[in-house]
Amino acid sequence: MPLIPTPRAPIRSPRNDGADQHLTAGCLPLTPRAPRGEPWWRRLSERRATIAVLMALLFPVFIVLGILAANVGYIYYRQLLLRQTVQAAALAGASNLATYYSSSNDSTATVVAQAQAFASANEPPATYGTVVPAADVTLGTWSNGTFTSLAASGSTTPNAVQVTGLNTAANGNAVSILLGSLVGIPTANMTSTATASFATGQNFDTIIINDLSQSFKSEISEQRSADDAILNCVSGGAATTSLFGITTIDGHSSTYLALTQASTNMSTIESAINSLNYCGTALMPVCSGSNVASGIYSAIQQFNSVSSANAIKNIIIITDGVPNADSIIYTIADGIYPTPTSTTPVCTILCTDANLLTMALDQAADAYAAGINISTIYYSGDTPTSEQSSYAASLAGLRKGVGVSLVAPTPAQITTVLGGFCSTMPSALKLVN
Amino acid sequence: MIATPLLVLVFGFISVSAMFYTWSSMQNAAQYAAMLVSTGQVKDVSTGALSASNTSATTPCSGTLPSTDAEYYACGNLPSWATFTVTTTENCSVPSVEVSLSASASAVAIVDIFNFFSGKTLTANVTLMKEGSCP
Repeated sequence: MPLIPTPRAPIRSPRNDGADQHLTAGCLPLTPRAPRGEPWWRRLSERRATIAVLMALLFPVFIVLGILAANVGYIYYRQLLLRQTVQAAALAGASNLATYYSSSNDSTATVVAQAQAFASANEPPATYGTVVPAADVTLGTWSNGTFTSLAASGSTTPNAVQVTGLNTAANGNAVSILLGSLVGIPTANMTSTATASFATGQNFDTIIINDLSQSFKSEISEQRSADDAILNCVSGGAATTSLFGITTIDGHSSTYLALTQASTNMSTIESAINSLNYCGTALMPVCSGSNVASGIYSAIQQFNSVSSANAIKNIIIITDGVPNADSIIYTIADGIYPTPTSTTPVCTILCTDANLLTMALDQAADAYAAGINISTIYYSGDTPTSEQSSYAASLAGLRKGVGVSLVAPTPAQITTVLGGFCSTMPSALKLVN
Repeated sequence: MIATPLLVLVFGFISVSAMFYTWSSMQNAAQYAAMLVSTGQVKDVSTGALSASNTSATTPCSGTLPSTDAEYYACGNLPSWATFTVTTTENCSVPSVEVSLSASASAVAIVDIFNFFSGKTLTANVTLMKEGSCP
């Protein structure tokens, strides 16, 4: 019973001598009271009836408030789930950005498919509908805190993926609200957007293996351009203390440029790149076949001798993909042992092309075990057209970790493609928005 | 007559609130653990290092989990009034990492009036792409 406080003295009943004092002391009842002469049970019954009416009126209010509270909790949960889903999708899409560059037509299909696959893994379509439509997976560039889609910028070198998740009526999967139809709001729309990109936080230590063999001499200028593009990426896009080195191969390997800090030695490195030439020319090694294994072995040793904290280590092999044995003696420095602890070499003399390919595969596995990613860039060189695809596939077999495989970028594409390729290396994939 | 429905209502509110609070906490904890494993910052689970032959582990949350295990992070910041079970799976064929937390719904609800949540399980699941080498 609602009561209004008053300064009045307690009202005492002359019959029950204050029996109802606790109910009325200091207050005036708003509703008419039973006459003083009524028995106590009658007055009590009257008050109960009043409270029952009051509760009957308030109960629906309590229930509505409870449902509102439950809906708030549920909507918060669904918003969290949607946010996590688009984050997972964006990370998955960005992890596959390399496929954009390794495809011959800048295809976004794999990126989109992977983003959608991880969206579905977190919010199964059977329960939540299609949360991430293909059109809402966008490739673009992330720069200075802003995402710009490829369509908007005209760029062909994406380094980020943006994913928008939808729980909307227009998308056919709005979030249902408990008893919301009673108040004309049966569903709630929610969207969430996440962007994943490669940032610049980690060292991006890179050794390029340049093939100087006779069969590859026609592509030497493309190799120089490729080296320049990768250097620019390492020095500008990665952490400023990233290291850069060049190892050349023919039958043996040679440390052409030892690992050095890219950002502070640009002119020295560029000069070295410009001086690259094929075997047999001035200051270049004598031609003795083509042994990729020796280059990988050398790169592993170089990385082992340099301590670069928290670095991503990468080997990038640029060659025509043809292991070509020569009549020379192969030693440990040529990568003849399958593992670092092996005592039985694959071969030492009379090695065949197949032996050298086996050695290259072994060394690539050793590099990967040492935490080094391997990327490959194939040029056809002097390879007959009929054999180019098989050689390209053979070279791609050396790819390890998160490395990528590129096939014959034309001279005009080199700066663009390799610059983009470089930006996709996993220097630090992370959610940026 | 009035007290009974009023108490049902109050404890119903408590149950539902506890349920959604816990569900959101589970979802956050699962994502945190999944991110640590997917980025290679955590390489172990309760059964040892993740490898080709040890791709999954299921264990109840407890205070004895070491900080080198993924479950330690999945079980962090969860309410104390329920018991949780965490499953961590690395699937290198995708590659992906999945962390799943589950708990009895009736325990999560604290006060399960009329056994409304009895027999039901609350699950939070997060799947992320595995970055870098796998396993």
